[in-house]
Amino acid sequence: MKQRLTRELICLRIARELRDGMYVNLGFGMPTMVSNFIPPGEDIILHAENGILNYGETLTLEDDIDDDLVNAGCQPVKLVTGACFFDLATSFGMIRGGHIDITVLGAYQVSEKGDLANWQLPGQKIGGIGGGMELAFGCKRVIVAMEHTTRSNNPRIVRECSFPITARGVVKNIVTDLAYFSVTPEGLVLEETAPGFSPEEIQSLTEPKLLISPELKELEL
Amino acid sequence: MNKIVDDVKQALADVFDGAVVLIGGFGGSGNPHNLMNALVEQGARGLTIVSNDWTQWTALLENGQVRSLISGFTNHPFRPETTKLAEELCQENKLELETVPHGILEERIRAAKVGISAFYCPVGVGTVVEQGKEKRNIDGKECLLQHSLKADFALIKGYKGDRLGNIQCRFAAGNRNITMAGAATVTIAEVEQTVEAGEIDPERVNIPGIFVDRVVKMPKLVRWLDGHEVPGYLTPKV
Repeated sequence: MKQRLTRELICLRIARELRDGMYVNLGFGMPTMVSNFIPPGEDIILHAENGILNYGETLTLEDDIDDDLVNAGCQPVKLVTGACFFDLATSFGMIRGGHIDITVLGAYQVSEKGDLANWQLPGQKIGGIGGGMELAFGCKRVIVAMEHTTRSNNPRIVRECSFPITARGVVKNIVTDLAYFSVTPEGLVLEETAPGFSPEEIQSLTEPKLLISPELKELEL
Repeated sequence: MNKIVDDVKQALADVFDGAVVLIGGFGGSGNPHNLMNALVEQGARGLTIVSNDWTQWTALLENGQVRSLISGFTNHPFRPETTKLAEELCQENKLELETVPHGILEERIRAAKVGISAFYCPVGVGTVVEQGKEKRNIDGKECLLQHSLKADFALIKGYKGDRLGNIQCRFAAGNRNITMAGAATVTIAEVEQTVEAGEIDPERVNIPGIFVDRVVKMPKLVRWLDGHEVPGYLTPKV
């Protein structure tokens, strides 16, 4: 049956890239849901840019919420055993200094060379860079979680980003509601497809010419 | 030595028109909400507000007190009318806007605090952040020159404070308050409790008193109370 992935399933697929011993930062918006799919019993340590290592599940309004214990997306969270707090300069030192293994970021656009655009709409004066530029520059691996197309069904994976750039050449993998991609020096590689979607159909909704992985398979969920 | 000030109005009385004001906190957590509200009331105009996000500048902008905004977020993701106001004021040249990466902003503030005039950093190369900045290749990496950010006032939030200005922070509410303390000519801290000197264990002091000029006790204002979200999070937690 043909079905675009939900945001939860995109995050579930991304969570599969996390390994025991990794330090991971989840960006604002959709990426925060990746924390819901982290396998238990492993030390996958979440970094919150506002100054926490080893925060855990998000709380609901029924829980005992503490305003002083939130993640960078302003969500109240629990701590995992072995957590620590630190100031923001230190936090960004962790990011910029290359100490974080994976960051998962949202995007307006990603180019075939891995350029990321996710902080401002064209023509605007205002915008929200937040920690996104540091995360994009500093983390060892950038994974983007995004919708494959715009509301008018135009590609968001493009040859060149037309939206204001967050960082150039940083994205390693893209996970959309249609597919899983790798950015390589040879080009953008289609690795996995959402159930029922053919490579041709995915290509028709993607601007740059895709390379098809010899191990192309359907996303297992 | 007694840095404790009884009256929040007194604590902010000398904030002048055109001042550069750093405001602590991150997304509402660890924000000096009371100091910010008092600044709105105090009414100083033409301010340059240096902030992380919209939770530090919205009230001041809407009250017409901001001439220049230096912030990681110059939009409000949850209130379109605020975003629209900022955009319009900027298009009409009534508001100067600089959207900056959080980490760069933090280092610029820290540099002013610790006597570093300027530094080179690769973040922002290839983006609008590059505009107007000197670029240099250092060890094979393109880097931008960033200058220390000098400020007149820093408004910060702590948990406990004593007469020497020592501040203890709680959980993740330290965040930018720790960096900002001492990064301006005058640092003013709002705390939930003022305590006797020595009550905060020396190992538990997050902000050494040397960086703090004034300490004022104010109630903690919270966003979530008794199972619901408080609109505008201006409710004191008893």
